[in-house]
Amino acid sequence: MGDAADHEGQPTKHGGVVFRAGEELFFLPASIAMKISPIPEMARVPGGPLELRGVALVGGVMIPVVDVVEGPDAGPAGAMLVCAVIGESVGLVGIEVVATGRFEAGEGPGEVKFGDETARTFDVAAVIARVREGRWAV
Amino acid sequence: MPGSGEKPKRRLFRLLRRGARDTTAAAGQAAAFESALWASHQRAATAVRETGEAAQRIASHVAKQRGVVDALADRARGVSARSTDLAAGFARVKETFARLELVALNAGLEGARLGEGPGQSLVLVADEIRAQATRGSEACRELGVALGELGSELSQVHSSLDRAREASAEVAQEAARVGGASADADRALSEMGDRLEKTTGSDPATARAIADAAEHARALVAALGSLSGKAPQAIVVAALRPVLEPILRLLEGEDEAER
Repeated sequence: MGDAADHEGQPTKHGGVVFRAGEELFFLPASIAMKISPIPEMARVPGGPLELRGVALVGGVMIPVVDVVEGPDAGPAGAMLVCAVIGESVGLVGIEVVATGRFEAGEGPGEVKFGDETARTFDVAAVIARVREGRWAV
Repeated sequence: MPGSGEKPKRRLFRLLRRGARDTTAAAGQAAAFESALWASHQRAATAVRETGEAAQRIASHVAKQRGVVDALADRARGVSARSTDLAAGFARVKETFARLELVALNAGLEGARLGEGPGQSLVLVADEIRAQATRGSEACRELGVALGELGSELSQVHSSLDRAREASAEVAQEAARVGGASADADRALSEMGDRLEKTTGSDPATARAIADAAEHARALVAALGSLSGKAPQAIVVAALRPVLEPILRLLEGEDEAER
Protein backbone atom coordinates (compact mmCIF):
# COMPACT_ATOMS: atom_id res chain seq x y z
CA MET A 1 0.00 0.00 0.00
CA GLY A 2 3.02 2.19 0.16
CA ASP A 3 2.86 2.89 -3.54
CA ALA A 4 -0.51 4.47 -4.23
CA ALA A 5 -0.79 3.28 -7.85
CA ASP A 6 -1.26 -0.09 -9.45
CA HIS A 7 0.71 -1.47 -12.42
CA GLU A 8 -1.53 0.34 -15.02
CA GLY A 9 -0.82 3.77 -13.51
CA GLN A 10 -4.30 4.08 -12.02
CA PRO A 11 -4.39 5.04 -8.34
CA THR A 12 -5.06 2.16 -5.99
CA LYS A 13 -8.44 2.33 -4.32
CA HIS A 14 -9.72 0.73 -1.18
CA GLY A 15 -13.39 0.07 -0.56
CA GLY A 16 -14.76 0.74 2.86
CA VAL A 17 -16.09 3.40 5.17
CA VAL A 18 -14.59 6.70 6.30
CA PHE A 19 -15.73 8.03 9.65
CA ARG A 20 -14.81 10.72 12.10
CA ALA A 21 -14.12 9.98 15.76
CA GLY A 22 -13.47 13.13 17.73
CA GLU A 23 -11.23 15.27 15.53
CA GLU A 24 -9.64 12.35 13.67
CA LEU A 25 -10.66 10.77 10.39
CA PHE A 26 -10.53 6.96 10.19
CA PHE A 27 -11.01 4.34 7.52
CA LEU A 28 -12.25 0.77 7.80
CA PRO A 29 -12.11 -1.57 4.82
CA ALA A 30 -15.32 -3.18 3.57
CA SER A 31 -14.00 -6.55 4.68
CA ILE A 32 -14.23 -5.40 8.32
CA ALA A 33 -17.03 -2.85 8.20
CA MET A 34 -20.16 -4.93 7.88
CA LYS A 35 -22.99 -2.43 8.01
CA ILE A 36 -24.16 0.85 9.37
CA SER A 37 -27.30 0.87 11.45
CA PRO A 38 -29.16 3.19 13.78
CA ILE A 39 -27.95 3.00 17.37
CA PRO A 40 -29.93 0.15 18.92
CA GLU A 41 -31.21 -0.18 22.45
CA MET A 42 -28.43 -1.46 24.67
CA ALA A 43 -28.13 -3.29 27.93
CA ARG A 44 -25.48 -1.89 30.24
CA VAL A 45 -22.84 -4.31 31.47
CA PRO A 46 -22.11 -3.81 35.18
CA GLY A 47 -18.41 -3.49 35.90
CA GLY A 48 -17.55 -3.11 32.23
CA PRO A 49 -14.88 -0.71 30.99
CA LEU A 50 -15.84 2.89 30.46
CA GLU A 51 -15.85 2.68 26.67
CA LEU A 52 -18.19 -0.31 26.63
CA ARG A 53 -21.62 1.23 26.22
CA GLY A 54 -23.32 -2.12 26.59
CA VAL A 55 -24.47 -5.07 24.57
CA ALA A 56 -27.07 -4.97 21.82
CA LEU A 57 -28.95 -7.45 19.70
CA VAL A 58 -27.95 -6.91 16.07
CA GLY A 59 -29.20 -9.30 13.42
CA GLY A 60 -30.04 -11.91 16.02
CA VAL A 61 -26.56 -11.81 17.55
CA MET A 62 -25.62 -10.13 20.84
CA ILE A 63 -22.60 -7.91 20.23
CA PRO A 64 -20.66 -5.49 22.45
CA VAL A 65 -21.07 -1.83 21.59
CA VAL A 66 -18.03 0.36 22.16
CA ASP A 67 -17.86 4.13 22.34
CA VAL A 68 -14.88 5.15 20.24
CA VAL A 69 -14.59 8.63 21.74
CA GLU A 70 -13.44 8.33 25.33
CA GLY A 71 -14.25 10.67 28.13
CA PRO A 72 -17.34 12.48 29.31
CA ASP A 73 -17.80 14.28 25.96
CA ALA A 74 -18.51 11.02 24.22
CA GLY A 75 -22.12 11.14 23.18
CA PRO A 76 -24.33 9.03 21.01
CA ALA A 77 -23.91 9.90 17.35
CA GLY A 78 -26.48 9.03 14.75
CA ALA A 79 -25.24 5.63 13.67
CA MET A 80 -23.48 2.48 14.75
CA LEU A 81 -20.84 0.84 12.60
CA VAL A 82 -20.89 -2.93 12.92
CA CYS A 83 -17.47 -4.47 12.38
CA ALA A 84 -16.34 -8.07 12.26
CA VAL A 85 -12.76 -9.15 13.00
CA ILE A 86 -11.77 -12.80 13.02
CA GLY A 87 -15.27 -13.95 13.62
CA GLU A 88 -16.05 -11.44 16.35
CA SER A 89 -18.45 -8.58 15.87
CA VAL A 90 -18.40 -5.26 17.63
CA GLY A 91 -20.49 -2.14 17.24
CA LEU A 92 -18.77 1.24 17.16
CA VAL A 93 -20.68 4.31 18.32
CA GLY A 94 -19.67 7.89 19.04
CA ILE A 95 -18.60 8.21 15.44
CA GLU A 96 -19.83 10.22 12.48
CA VAL A 97 -19.89 8.17 9.29
CA VAL A 98 -18.61 10.50 6.59
CA ALA A 99 -18.69 8.33 3.46
CA THR A 100 -18.73 4.84 2.06
CA GLY A 101 -17.36 3.61 -1.26
CA ARG A 102 -13.95 3.32 -2.79
CA PHE A 103 -11.23 5.72 -1.73
CA GLU A 104 -7.83 6.46 -3.19
CA ALA A 105 -4.97 5.02 -1.18
CA GLY A 106 -2.93 7.47 0.85
CA GLU A 107 0.81 7.80 1.30
CA GLY A 108 1.12 5.71 4.46
CA PRO A 109 0.16 2.08 4.89
CA GLY A 110 -3.55 1.58 5.48
CA GLU A 111 -4.32 5.22 4.74
CA VAL A 112 -6.86 6.55 2.28
CA LYS A 113 -7.43 10.03 0.95
CA PHE A 114 -10.70 11.75 1.57
CA GLY A 115 -10.83 15.19 0.00
CA ASP A 116 -7.92 17.14 1.43
CA GLU A 117 -7.68 14.86 4.44
CA THR A 118 -6.10 11.51 5.03
CA ALA A 119 -7.89 8.80 6.98
CA ARG A 120 -5.85 6.15 8.73
CA THR A 121 -7.12 2.67 9.31
CA PHE A 122 -8.97 2.22 12.53
CA ASP A 123 -7.65 -0.56 14.73
CA VAL A 124 -10.75 -2.55 15.61
CA ALA A 125 -8.72 -5.43 16.97
CA ALA A 126 -7.17 -3.11 19.54
CA VAL A 127 -10.59 -1.92 20.62
CA ILE A 128 -11.79 -5.49 21.03
CA ALA A 129 -8.66 -6.37 22.95
CA ARG A 130 -9.06 -3.36 25.23
CA VAL A 131 -12.61 -4.26 25.99
CA ARG A 132 -11.63 -7.85 26.65
CA GLU A 133 -8.84 -6.85 29.00
CA GLY A 134 -11.24 -5.11 31.28
CA ARG A 135 -11.85 -6.53 34.74
CA TRP A 136 -15.36 -7.55 33.76
CA ALA A 137 -14.06 -10.13 31.30
CA VAL A 138 -13.71 -13.76 32.41
CA MET B 1 -93.16 75.94 41.94
CA PRO B 2 -93.77 79.59 41.01
CA GLY B 3 -95.19 79.99 37.59
CA SER B 4 -95.17 76.27 36.83
CA GLY B 5 -98.63 76.53 35.28
CA GLU B 6 -97.90 79.83 33.52
CA LYS B 7 -97.25 80.28 29.84
CA PRO B 8 -93.55 81.06 29.17
CA LYS B 9 -94.35 84.50 27.66
CA ARG B 10 -96.38 85.51 30.68
CA ARG B 11 -93.64 84.27 33.02
CA LEU B 12 -91.07 86.27 31.05
CA PHE B 13 -93.05 89.46 31.37
CA ARG B 14 -93.55 88.86 35.09
CA LEU B 15 -89.81 88.53 35.53
CA LEU B 16 -89.20 91.59 33.37
CA ARG B 17 -91.59 93.55 35.52
CA ARG B 18 -89.81 92.37 38.63
CA GLY B 19 -86.55 93.56 37.08
CA ALA B 20 -88.19 96.89 36.13
CA ARG B 21 -89.36 97.47 39.70
CA ASP B 22 -86.06 96.58 41.24
CA THR B 23 -83.61 98.93 39.67
CA THR B 24 -80.69 98.43 42.01
CA ALA B 25 -77.36 97.27 40.64
CA ALA B 26 -77.38 94.24 42.96
CA ALA B 27 -80.65 93.04 41.49
CA GLY B 28 -79.22 93.40 37.98
CA GLN B 29 -76.18 91.45 38.98
CA ALA B 30 -78.33 88.76 40.54
CA ALA B 31 -80.34 88.40 37.36
CA ALA B 32 -77.16 88.10 35.30
CA PHE B 33 -75.79 85.59 37.79
CA GLU B 34 -79.03 83.61 37.63
CA SER B 35 -78.88 83.54 33.86
CA ALA B 36 -75.22 82.46 33.91
CA LEU B 37 -76.04 79.83 36.50
CA TRP B 38 -78.75 78.33 34.31
CA ALA B 39 -76.43 78.44 31.31
CA SER B 40 -73.75 76.61 33.30
CA HIS B 41 -76.33 74.11 34.49
CA GLN B 42 -77.42 73.49 30.95
CA ARG B 43 -73.82 73.03 29.77
CA ALA B 44 -73.08 70.65 32.64
CA ALA B 45 -76.24 68.66 31.91
CA THR B 46 -75.29 68.41 28.24
CA ALA B 47 -71.73 67.37 29.09
CA VAL B 48 -72.93 64.75 31.55
CA ARG B 49 -75.40 63.34 29.04
CA GLU B 50 -72.73 63.18 26.35
CA THR B 51 -70.32 61.55 28.80
CA GLY B 52 -72.88 58.87 29.62
CA GLU B 53 -73.54 58.23 25.95
CA ALA B 54 -69.80 58.07 25.23
CA ALA B 55 -69.34 55.61 28.09
CA GLN B 56 -72.07 53.42 26.60
CA ARG B 57 -70.45 53.60 23.17
CA ILE B 58 -67.03 52.74 24.66
CA ALA B 59 -68.54 49.76 26.49
CA SER B 60 -70.16 48.60 23.24
CA HIS B 61 -66.89 48.96 21.28
CA VAL B 62 -64.94 47.18 24.00
CA ALA B 63 -67.43 44.30 23.93
CA LYS B 64 -66.92 44.03 20.17
CA GLN B 65 -63.15 44.23 20.62
CA ARG B 66 -63.25 41.45 23.20
CA GLY B 67 -65.18 39.31 20.76
CA VAL B 68 -62.51 39.91 18.11
CA VAL B 69 -59.71 39.17 20.60
CA ASP B 70 -61.42 35.94 21.66
CA ALA B 71 -61.79 34.89 18.02
CA LEU B 72 -58.11 35.69 17.43
CA ALA B 73 -57.12 33.67 20.50
CA ASP B 74 -59.13 30.71 19.18
CA ARG B 75 -57.39 30.98 15.82
CA ALA B 76 -53.98 31.28 17.47
CA ARG B 77 -54.75 28.14 19.49
CA GLY B 78 -55.72 26.35 16.27
CA VAL B 79 -52.51 27.44 14.56
CA SER B 80 -50.52 26.41 17.63
CA ALA B 81 -52.06 22.93 17.59
CA ARG B 82 -51.43 22.67 13.84
CA SER B 83 -47.83 23.76 14.43
CA THR B 84 -47.38 20.95 16.98
CA ASP B 85 -48.77 18.43 14.47
CA LEU B 86 -46.41 19.79 11.83
CA ALA B 87 -43.45 19.50 14.19
CA ALA B 88 -44.27 15.83 14.77
CA GLY B 89 -44.59 15.32 11.00
CA PHE B 90 -41.23 16.98 10.42
CA ALA B 91 -39.63 14.79 13.05
CA ARG B 92 -40.89 11.72 11.15
CA VAL B 93 -39.67 13.06 7.81
CA LYS B 94 -36.27 13.86 9.34
CA GLU B 95 -36.03 10.36 10.77
CA THR B 96 -36.94 8.92 7.37
CA PHE B 97 -34.18 10.92 5.69
CA ALA B 98 -31.72 9.75 8.35
CA ARG B 99 -32.71 6.13 7.66
CA LEU B 100 -32.40 6.74 3.93
CA GLU B 101 -28.93 8.12 4.53
CA LEU B 102 -27.99 4.94 6.37
CA VAL B 103 -29.42 2.84 3.54
CA ALA B 104 -27.32 4.84 1.07
CA LEU B 105 -24.21 4.39 3.25
CA ASN B 106 -24.81 0.63 3.44
CA ALA B 107 -25.38 0.48 -0.31
CA GLY B 108 -22.07 2.33 -0.78
CA LEU B 109 -20.37 -0.12 1.58
CA GLU B 110 -21.85 -3.02 -0.36
CA GLY B 111 -20.69 -1.47 -3.62
CA ALA B 112 -17.20 -1.10 -2.17
CA ARG B 113 -17.25 -4.75 -1.15
CA LEU B 114 -18.24 -5.81 -4.66
CA GLY B 115 -15.15 -4.16 -6.08
CA GLU B 116 -14.24 -1.59 -8.73
CA GLY B 117 -16.20 -3.04 -11.64
CA PRO B 118 -19.51 -4.44 -10.45
CA GLY B 119 -19.82 -2.24 -7.39
CA GLN B 120 -19.07 1.09 -9.05
CA SER B 121 -22.62 1.83 -10.20
CA LEU B 122 -23.98 0.89 -6.79
CA VAL B 123 -21.52 3.26 -5.13
CA LEU B 124 -22.50 6.08 -7.49
CA VAL B 125 -26.22 5.58 -6.89
CA ALA B 126 -25.61 5.33 -3.15
CA ASP B 127 -23.62 8.58 -3.19
CA GLU B 128 -26.39 10.38 -5.05
CA ILE B 129 -29.10 9.03 -2.76
CA ARG B 130 -27.07 10.02 0.27
CA ALA B 131 -26.50 13.53 -1.09
CA GLN B 132 -30.25 13.95 -1.67
CA ALA B 133 -31.07 12.50 1.74
CA THR B 134 -28.61 14.90 3.34
CA ARG B 135 -30.22 17.81 1.52
CA GLY B 136 -33.63 16.61 2.69
CA SER B 137 -32.38 16.30 6.26
CA GLU B 138 -30.93 19.80 6.11
CA ALA B 139 -34.18 21.22 4.70
CA CYS B 140 -36.10 19.43 7.47
CA ARG B 141 -33.76 20.86 10.08
CA GLU B 142 -34.26 24.40 8.71
CA LEU B 143 -38.02 23.92 8.58
CA GLY B 144 -37.93 22.58 12.12
CA VAL B 145 -36.07 25.69 13.26
CA ALA B 146 -38.57 27.92 11.43
CA LEU B 147 -41.41 25.97 13.02
CA GLY B 148 -39.84 26.44 16.44
CA GLU B 149 -39.60 30.18 15.83
CA LEU B 150 -43.22 30.16 14.69
CA GLY B 151 -44.17 28.42 17.94
CA SER B 152 -42.27 31.04 19.91
CA GLU B 153 -44.04 33.81 17.99
CA LEU B 154 -47.36 32.12 18.62
CA SER B 155 -46.73 31.97 22.34
CA GLN B 156 -45.95 35.70 22.24
CA VAL B 157 -49.19 36.27 20.32
CA HIS B 158 -51.00 34.30 23.04
CA SER B 159 -49.54 36.43 25.80
CA SER B 160 -50.27 39.63 23.84
CA LEU B 161 -53.87 38.52 23.34
CA ASP B 162 -54.16 37.75 27.05
CA ARG B 163 -52.88 41.22 27.84
CA ALA B 164 -55.31 42.74 25.30
CA ARG B 165 -58.15 40.79 26.93
CA GLU B 166 -57.17 42.05 30.38
CA ALA B 167 -56.90 45.61 29.06
CA SER B 168 -60.35 45.29 27.43
CA ALA B 169 -61.82 44.05 30.69
CA GLU B 170 -60.28 46.99 32.54
CA VAL B 171 -61.57 49.46 29.94
CA ALA B 172 -65.04 47.88 30.17
CA GLN B 173 -64.95 48.26 33.97
CA GLU B 174 -63.80 51.85 33.67
CA ALA B 175 -66.51 52.58 31.09
CA ALA B 176 -69.10 51.10 33.45
CA ARG B 177 -67.75 53.27 36.27
CA VAL B 178 -67.87 56.36 34.04
CA GLY B 179 -71.43 55.45 33.01
CA GLY B 180 -72.45 55.08 36.67
CA ALA B 181 -70.77 58.33 37.64
CA SER B 182 -72.42 60.05 34.71
CA ALA B 183 -75.84 58.78 35.79
CA ASP B 184 -75.15 60.01 39.35
CA ALA B 185 -74.04 63.39 38.00
CA ASP B 186 -77.17 63.56 35.83
CA ARG B 187 -79.40 62.89 38.85
CA ALA B 188 -77.49 65.43 40.94
CA LEU B 189 -77.78 68.03 38.19
CA SER B 190 -81.49 67.35 37.87
CA GLU B 191 -81.93 67.86 41.62
CA MET B 192 -79.79 70.98 41.41
CA GLY B 193 -82.00 72.26 38.59
CA ASP B 194 -85.15 71.64 40.66
CA ARG B 195 -83.66 73.44 43.66
CA LEU B 196 -82.44 76.29 41.45
CA GLU B 197 -85.89 76.61 39.95
CA LYS B 198 -87.46 76.70 43.41
CA THR B 199 -84.90 79.19 44.70
CA THR B 200 -84.87 81.62 41.75
CA GLY B 201 -88.40 81.12 40.50
CA SER B 202 -87.10 80.81 36.96
CA ASP B 203 -86.34 77.95 34.68
CA PRO B 204 -83.86 77.39 31.88
CA ALA B 205 -86.26 78.42 29.12
CA THR B 206 -87.21 81.64 30.89
CA ALA B 207 -83.60 82.45 31.70
CA ARG B 208 -82.70 81.94 28.06
CA ALA B 209 -85.63 84.12 26.95
CA ILE B 210 -84.54 86.87 29.37
CA ALA B 211 -81.00 86.68 28.07
CA ASP B 212 -82.33 86.94 24.49
CA ALA B 213 -84.60 89.85 25.42
CA ALA B 214 -81.72 91.64 27.15
CA GLU B 215 -79.60 91.13 24.08
CA HIS B 216 -82.32 92.59 21.87
CA ALA B 217 -82.81 95.49 24.29
CA ARG B 218 -79.11 96.27 24.19
CA ALA B 219 -79.25 96.20 20.41
CA LEU B 220 -82.25 98.55 20.46
CA VAL B 221 -80.44 100.97 22.79
CA ALA B 222 -77.39 100.87 20.56
CA ALA B 223 -79.53 101.56 17.49
CA LEU B 224 -81.22 104.47 19.23
CA GLY B 225 -77.84 105.85 20.19
CA SER B 226 -76.70 105.79 16.59
CA LEU B 227 -79.89 107.63 15.54
CA SER B 228 -79.40 110.34 18.15
CA GLY B 229 -78.74 113.69 16.51
CA LYS B 230 -78.99 112.35 13.01
CA ALA B 231 -82.75 112.17 12.58
CA PRO B 232 -85.42 114.56 13.91
CA GLN B 233 -86.74 113.25 17.22
CA ALA B 234 -90.35 113.51 16.04
CA ILE B 235 -89.70 111.09 13.20
CA VAL B 236 -87.87 108.67 15.48
CA VAL B 237 -90.62 108.74 18.10
CA ALA B 238 -93.25 108.31 15.42
CA ALA B 239 -91.43 105.31 14.07
CA LEU B 240 -90.76 103.67 17.45
CA ARG B 241 -94.03 104.42 19.22
CA PRO B 242 -96.04 101.54 17.69
CA VAL B 243 -93.34 99.11 18.81
CA LEU B 244 -92.49 100.49 22.24
CA GLU B 245 -95.94 101.47 23.46
CA PRO B 246 -97.31 97.93 23.84
CA ILE B 247 -94.25 96.99 25.85
CA LEU B 248 -94.50 100.02 28.08
CA ARG B 249 -98.21 99.45 28.54
CA LEU B 250 -97.60 95.89 29.37
CA LEU B 251 -94.89 96.67 31.94
CA GLU B 252 -96.70 99.59 33.57
CA GLY B 253 -100.21 98.17 33.29
CA GLU B 254 -99.31 94.87 34.93
CA ASP B 255 -97.61 96.80 37.71
CA GLU B 256 -100.75 98.80 38.36
CA ALA B 257 -102.87 95.69 38.22
CA GLU B 258 -100.64 94.09 40.79
CA ARG B 259 -100.92 97.13 42.98
